[in-house]
Amino acid sequence: MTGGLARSSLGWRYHWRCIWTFARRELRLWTYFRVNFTLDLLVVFTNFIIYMIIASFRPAAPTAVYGAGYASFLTVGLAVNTLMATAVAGPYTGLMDCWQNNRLETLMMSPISLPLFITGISVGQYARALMRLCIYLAGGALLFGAFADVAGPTLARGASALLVLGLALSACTGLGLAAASMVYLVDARGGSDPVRLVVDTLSGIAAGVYFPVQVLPGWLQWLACLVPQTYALDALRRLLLSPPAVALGAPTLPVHALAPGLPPALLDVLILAAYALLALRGGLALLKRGLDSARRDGRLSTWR
Amino acid sequence: MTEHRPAGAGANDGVAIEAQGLVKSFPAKRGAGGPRPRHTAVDGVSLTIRQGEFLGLVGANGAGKTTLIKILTGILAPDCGLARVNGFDLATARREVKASSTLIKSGGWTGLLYQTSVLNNIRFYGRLAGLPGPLIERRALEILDVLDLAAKCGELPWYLSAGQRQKACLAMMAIVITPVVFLDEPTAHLDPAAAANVRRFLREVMNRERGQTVFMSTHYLDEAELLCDRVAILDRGRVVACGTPAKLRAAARSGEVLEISVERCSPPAVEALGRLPGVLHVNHRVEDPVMGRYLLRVHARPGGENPTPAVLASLSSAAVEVRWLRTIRPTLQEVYFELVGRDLN
Repeated sequence: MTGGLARSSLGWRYHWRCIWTFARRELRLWTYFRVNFTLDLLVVFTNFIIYMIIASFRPAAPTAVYGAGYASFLTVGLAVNTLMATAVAGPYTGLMDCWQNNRLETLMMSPISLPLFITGISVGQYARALMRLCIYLAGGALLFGAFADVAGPTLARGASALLVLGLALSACTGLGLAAASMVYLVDARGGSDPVRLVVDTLSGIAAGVYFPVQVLPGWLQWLACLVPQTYALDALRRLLLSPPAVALGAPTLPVHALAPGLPPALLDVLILAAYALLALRGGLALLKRGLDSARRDGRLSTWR
Repeated sequence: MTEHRPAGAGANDGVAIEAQGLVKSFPAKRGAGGPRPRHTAVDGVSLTIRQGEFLGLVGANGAGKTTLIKILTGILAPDCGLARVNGFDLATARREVKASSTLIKSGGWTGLLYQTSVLNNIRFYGRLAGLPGPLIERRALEILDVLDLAAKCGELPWYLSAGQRQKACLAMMAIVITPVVFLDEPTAHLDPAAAANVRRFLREVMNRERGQTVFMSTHYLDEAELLCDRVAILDRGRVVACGTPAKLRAAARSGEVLEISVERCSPPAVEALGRLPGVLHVNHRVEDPVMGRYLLRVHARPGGENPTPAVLASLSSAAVEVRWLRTIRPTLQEVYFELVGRDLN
């Protein structure tokens, strides 16, 4: 028999079991309609092809700072951005899905904690994002010759890239929690919210997903520094695509000029770490505040 | 017996649920200018429910039953007042309250995922509660068996009838045994046989076998009388009476009740009965408007003379045909009518 409060002390095994339970459920949901599941895969693939074809007509973009061609640059941008966009959108979308399908009260009355609840309702979207990531990487490499001009990363660089990805996802999850809090704080229950609007716009235009940040006007480069995607993409491309000297060398973002003594990739990591810490704490606090306010005015689980 | 009894519960002196002066109001619809008015859904509710007790909360639609349950489960925060569940204060220990209680709602999908089987839905909730797999399997099959749903355990919820879905939801939530269970109109939308099945499960399994304290809202007075140790009557957010069904009946102002089935009756004839000396009040149900078939309940004044001859004379003078007549004890329906001033069902 497991005691009620003992659940929190069940530790990682219990948490992983819960996440796996959610993941299985979400996979079942996703694959239940086979035709739609197949179409999902096709849509991702065709979108990727369209991106790459448009990219082939591009004016020459200065991607040389990363030591790789544009196909590699864009493939990394699309693949990483799909994960980060999911981290930003996951909590809001999951919360709204539970709400609209009348499952929110059941989950909120279940013994899981708030962070586990948020992870659980977002996990299905991560599964979809991982699928997109695989299609982007495989499509980029097989159809457009991405990574052909890149030496494989060393073990240390691979580990560093994983660290950067972890920090980037944490920072984006923090922004996602803030976005989810808007459901209650500003009554954003119609499918869009101000936090995601700002983050998605900035990351789409300025964070360097489709083209390097250096090609943008100066003021837009500074705006790009407001979102974690910018640092994550810069650091990951340096770690995964560049020869070692390049990875440590040329600055690519305006903030790099503020600490000329530090290698740009290291500065990216430090900023990402601080961003992740602040965004997670701030996002969770905002979400708790939103839930408390909804508890007070009765909007928590009803369409009031 | 209950497995989700958080450490620290015990400072509750045998009290499972305690509410003191709970108030909850919501902003009403915006009017034309001026401050936004508020609608008070729960208005100073105080209740104490002992461990192992089965309490029924009876009230009409909009009386505040669901709001009160949402407050006691921590889904809503009260404007003022205190509440403790299983010894834990809702204001300071919501997580412990959540771990101590289960909420079972009625109607709709209420938490079921429709693309996976009934059994998988139950497994999902059991896993979130940290129950071991073999225990989930054994208990799920037991519950489904008792609820007469074992044959449907592999079905997807959207192929089930509304009543079967409601039972599936009950089975999902009942997989975890918490000290306190809140039920919000658990037999709404069920046919009589299914309702009886669910009632048996609530009383025999949850309350008696598992020893769970049950707090059930309903608008079926017969159900409350049948199942509950005590019944609280809620009207416009206030508890207007609380006690055992027998006590509530004994406190009824009316004496005996004449139940009369009539034909060719009309509203003026019913009104005339209410004006007779010795009659406290009359309520009626139209059973067949074409034939004028009514079921009348004539409440005699306590201590007054037997009103039967006067009632029959009045009906006869109005050319109403009496099909049958019998004398019954006042039921909770009569008690409710006296206290609230209108019929519940």
